[in-house]
Amino acid sequence: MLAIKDLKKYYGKVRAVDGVNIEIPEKSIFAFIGPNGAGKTTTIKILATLLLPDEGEVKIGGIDLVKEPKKIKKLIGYIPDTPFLYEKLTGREFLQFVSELFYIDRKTFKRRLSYLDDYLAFGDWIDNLVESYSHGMKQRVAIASSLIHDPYLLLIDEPMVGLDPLSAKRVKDLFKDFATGGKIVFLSTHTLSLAEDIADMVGVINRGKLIYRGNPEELTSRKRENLEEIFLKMIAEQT
Amino acid sequence: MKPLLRLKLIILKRELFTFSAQSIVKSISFFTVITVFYTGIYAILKRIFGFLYIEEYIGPVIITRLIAMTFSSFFFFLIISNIITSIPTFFRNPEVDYLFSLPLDAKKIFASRLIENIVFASWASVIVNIPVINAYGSIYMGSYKYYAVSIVSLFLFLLTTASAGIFIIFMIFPAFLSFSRLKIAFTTIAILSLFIVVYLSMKFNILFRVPDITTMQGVLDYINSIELPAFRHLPSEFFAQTMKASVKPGFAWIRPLGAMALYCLAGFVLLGLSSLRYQKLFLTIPAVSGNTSKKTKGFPAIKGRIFRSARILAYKDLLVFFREPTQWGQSLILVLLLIIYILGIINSSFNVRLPVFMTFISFANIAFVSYLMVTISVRFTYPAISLEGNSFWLMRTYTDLKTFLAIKYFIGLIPILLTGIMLVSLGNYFLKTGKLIALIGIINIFLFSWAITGINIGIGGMVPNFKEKNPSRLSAGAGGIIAAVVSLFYLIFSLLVMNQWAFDYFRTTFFFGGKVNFLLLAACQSVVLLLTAVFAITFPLLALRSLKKINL
Repeated sequence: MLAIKDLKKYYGKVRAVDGVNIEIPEKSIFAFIGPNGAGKTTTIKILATLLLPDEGEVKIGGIDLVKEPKKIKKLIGYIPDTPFLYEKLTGREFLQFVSELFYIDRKTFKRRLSYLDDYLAFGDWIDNLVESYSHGMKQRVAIASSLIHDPYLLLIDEPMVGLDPLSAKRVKDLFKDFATGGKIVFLSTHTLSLAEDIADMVGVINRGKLIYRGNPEELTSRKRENLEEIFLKMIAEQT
Repeated sequence: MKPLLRLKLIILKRELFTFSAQSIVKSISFFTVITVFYTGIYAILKRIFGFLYIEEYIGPVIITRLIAMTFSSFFFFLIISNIITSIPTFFRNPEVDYLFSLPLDAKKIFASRLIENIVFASWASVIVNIPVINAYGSIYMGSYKYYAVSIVSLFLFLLTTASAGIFIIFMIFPAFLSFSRLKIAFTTIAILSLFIVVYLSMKFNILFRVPDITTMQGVLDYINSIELPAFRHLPSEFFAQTMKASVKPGFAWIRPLGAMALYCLAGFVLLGLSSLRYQKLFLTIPAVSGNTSKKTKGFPAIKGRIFRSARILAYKDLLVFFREPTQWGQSLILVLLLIIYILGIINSSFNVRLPVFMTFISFANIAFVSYLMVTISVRFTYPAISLEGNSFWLMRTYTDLKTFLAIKYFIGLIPILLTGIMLVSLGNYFLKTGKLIALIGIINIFLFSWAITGINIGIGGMVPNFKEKNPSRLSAGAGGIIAAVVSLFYLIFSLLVMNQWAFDYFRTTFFFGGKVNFLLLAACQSVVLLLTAVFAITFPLLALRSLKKINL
């Protein structure tokens, strides 16, 4: 379970995150949607232990994020909106480096890589230097790096950036499979169709406040509109 | 720590040994330039030390003082250099963001960033320090012991300065971020004042205040006065003392080396304290994306059509420059250099009043000022094109590359032109130089600024690194060093040409009498003009050609 209670983060006078409450059970994909500057990335960075919240409480698998960040880091996989990869390493070396940090033995690494390769289809590119990769290939390696240690919670900011339709479909399948195994996917996106396709829960954030959270199917069937129309109306109403 | 260390070693190996036609050309040019530079410095120092060595009593004392002075300057430069590089190395860096999201101890991340910071901040200084050690060892016929002890001293020296610089930044950087502009201005002035007070207390120019000595007692008093260390408790002083002691038989070097080791130990304590604060500081300061609540006035509407795109680009460059914290540190160094230089000129003019000496200093002033101009240009102009980063595609798409380069050229030219002319004019004013020499100074500084800017913009455009966002790393990189050395070659050659006339001027004006040879002056000045035109035009043209070929 991921439990966020009354989370607040300020930048000077700006309230980047203003009292967000979310509870996400295991086996769920949560899509965090909102306009630019709404507070999505700040929330994800707090969950990734890269920012300290000013107020509120976050528990991942029952562990307090502020009190025990070291334990939390072992439970999460994180991909920022512009992922960082070492250009002078090959994709395989980069993934091995990450797995070393998580104390994963080589046998398990091979098994995990093979599993991820089924979805992400690295091909021979995995042994080329990252500097030669396309944007999509970099994104696939970044996704693999966040899942190589089989985390409990996957935090991902804009997962489909640079992916072709086939890769995007495979990544969606990967996320679904990952969540089915008793894990949580927390993704932030502007692509509302992605949220509609794979999310079990959506949260709409604007100006730091969570203005909706619930099931996307329930929402769209109740309002008889697609998620995009509902989202735009919600944002307009709040503005 | 092991995976992180192994990772860095793999990256380093690949950076150094990935062979392609372009990288081989780059490496050969880099090593050629460094070798020539090293040989030049070594030859000059060996000659100076050799000349002083044979002067009984006073020579060896002056050699030790010169070395101590050089290391003292390096001491402050290395601290400032570490301060500048540590902000983007420890904080404003996507790699650090990534590492902190992994289950890595903050102390391990700190250690890996520390090594990187020391390398980036110090490697250029090491290139200059090694010929000093070699020249000294060669004159005093130092054994293997001398070289081993000196290298250990250098290593301890670098660690000490790095720990001091990093500790300062860990103490003041977080405060700076929460300060108002007024507080930042006050703190900057306070830091500047502190550096100036320390610098003045070092009494560097005691060496040049040669008194009018008529008695042997006077000579002995003078020798005693310069034998006293100017700043005896700095690690730089112990570094010089270690070198001095290790050329002699015995173990006298152990004491100064031990003092350096103690300094280093103290440095480790400071680093330990910094590493304890690292996690907390990283989490409390704004992230790479730089969230800010400050409101800006926005980009102004640019009126008129004359040089419109040029003015838009110029405004953008200035706006970006003043919003980049890593540039503030560089500007601080610039201001510091200028203040110290002006104080030096004012101070020296009161000690030596002979017209021949004043004119000589006035000539030397042209060389010193142009050297300062090179420093500024390498720090600010050379990285200008690389700093466009990912937005370079915008320049290629929406603007003419010639306009783009021209703007970079003028933005780089104006500060060094104004600084150079101001310094030379101030120097001439305090030295009460004649009108002709003052005019020659201004003309040459005017010419030098065009060529120096051309070289730096040119090399910056020929080997751009759009991935590096840190200007100090760019200027301390291979391209920056090449730009500095090429600029210095141009300066040395131009000054040698002007020296032909200067020699004749001194001979006729102060010693043998006769008229000033204006024909020779015109000839020398024409050669410098031609040389300037070649450097000022060729390098930007090469950059233009190179930038057009870049695959985005």
